Amino acid sequence: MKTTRCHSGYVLGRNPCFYVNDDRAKTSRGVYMNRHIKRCINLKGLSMNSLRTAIVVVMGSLVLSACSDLGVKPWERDVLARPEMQLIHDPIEAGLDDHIYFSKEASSGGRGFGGGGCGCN
Amino acid sequence: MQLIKQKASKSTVRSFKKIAPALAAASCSLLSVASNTALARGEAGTWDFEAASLFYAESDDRVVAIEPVFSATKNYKDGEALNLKAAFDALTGASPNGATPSAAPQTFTTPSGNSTYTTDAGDAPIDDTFRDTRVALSASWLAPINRDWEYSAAFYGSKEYDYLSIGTSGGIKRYLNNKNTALNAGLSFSSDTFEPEGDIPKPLAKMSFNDTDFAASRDSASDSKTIIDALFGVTQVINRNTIMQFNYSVSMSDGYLSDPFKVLSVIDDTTGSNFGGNLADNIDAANNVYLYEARPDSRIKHSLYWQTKYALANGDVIDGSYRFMLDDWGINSHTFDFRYRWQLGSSYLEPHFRYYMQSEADFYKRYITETEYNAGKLKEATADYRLGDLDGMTVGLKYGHKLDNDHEFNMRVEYYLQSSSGDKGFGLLKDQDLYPDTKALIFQVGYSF
Repeated sequence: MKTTRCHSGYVLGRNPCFYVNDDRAKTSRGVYMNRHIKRCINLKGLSMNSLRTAIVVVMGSLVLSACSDLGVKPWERDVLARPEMQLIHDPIEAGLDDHIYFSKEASSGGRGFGGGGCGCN
Repeated sequence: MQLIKQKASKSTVRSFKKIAPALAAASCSLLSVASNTALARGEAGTWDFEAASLFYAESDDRVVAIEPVFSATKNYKDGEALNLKAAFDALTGASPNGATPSAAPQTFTTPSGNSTYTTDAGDAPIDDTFRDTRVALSASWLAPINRDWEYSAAFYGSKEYDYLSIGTSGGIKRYLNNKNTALNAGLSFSSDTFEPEGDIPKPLAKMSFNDTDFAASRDSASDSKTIIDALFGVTQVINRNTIMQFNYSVSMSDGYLSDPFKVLSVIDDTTGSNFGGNLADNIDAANNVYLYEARPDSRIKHSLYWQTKYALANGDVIDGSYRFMLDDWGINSHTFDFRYRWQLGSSYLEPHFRYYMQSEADFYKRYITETEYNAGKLKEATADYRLGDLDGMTVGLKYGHKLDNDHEFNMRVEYYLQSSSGDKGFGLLKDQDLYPDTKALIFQVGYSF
């Protein structure tokens, strides 16, 4: 489906119109053919939340596709396999730190769950 | 060449599948569904043990905590791992009660209502009846489903004298791109019950100095809250020396989120001294007015977390992370963490620097004015400095040594400084230090075998 915007611009809450080549349309004989139609798209219901969701999905897809070009071959993992290259190298120390900062600050989690678990905050 | 490939591939699989020790590490709830990979020393069928003890001491005779931790991990031949962990806390010392310092001595009722304590003129009011012990136990299980999928589950319980927390969590991980990318999703549920000595005070109730009024200021013997956390993460191998992680997490708390031991001072509009002693109809006419804090009964926090590890050609490792957090209490925070592991043969030195910045909650007030108190329109207020404008800085050094039998001994010393800022007050209050620094020493020794 090829779409061409017919307005010079639009804003959220307005209904912009598009010329659409609808190659999925069926004739009365059941044969597909191209049609050039004008459609108006309702953007009034498009909230900031759904816009954010769309952005996250698009960005996520871009990140994942970019990720496919990164990385190493299986036989190149010698450095990454070293214990000190694990993201949490010392789990006990990480847990104790999380406990300290959970008790003394308003933030917690991020690396893992923020959770509860003690009456210290 | 084939042999090299096989060896590297084995180490790869091992590094990705042995994440159990991290399961219990990443939060106070000890419910972390490892959003990353972690170390296991032993081969399948063996147990790995880690033991550590933390000593935490604040300056000026404030909180002192000793926390020994013991962790055991059993590794199974198909990549499953069981982790059991126990932690014990012993806390003593004094904690700021939230009231402002004053030019005159101040008397407060203890949380139990059974006695009082007095703070000298010019000193920060601290409750020196603070002491507690805690036992926390957790168990987590990690297992591969097939070549590309992995799941984990954890259970947790913690008991203090006046606090009980139980929780569970689960997570799933999907590997992509030849295991160069891992997607994580996890969910955690926790239920906490608070049963403080002297019961739960009513929100913004006046601190009382006689038995009749004390009973009237109490709400119930106990209260509870539930916490649900969700975490989504991507771990990406960038190149042979670099690995990176991004997490988004959301945490929703509902229920009793106040601290029953914290109060706010009411300040005289004219003089800037404590308000209350001049009230003719006050039974406690000789005493100042202090109100128990009240926080909202729900909170939603969002966190973005990024971490990168980079190995230098000489064997040293750089570890940097950043976290952004914001919540519907109006708080946002930035946390920067940096470590440099300096490899010295079988030993290492690891300098650590952490910087934390936090904005204040919408309902944070260092004090309440006489006008605000008399108007009676305040619904929520806290003077807990942990919800105010706050900066924290940690500087530390860790030393570790690997023994010939693959055991490791390590120790670290860190200095933690918290600085607060905000409304400086008026009148006589301006002469007081409303935002004293908190300084703490952290010392830890650990042994893994």
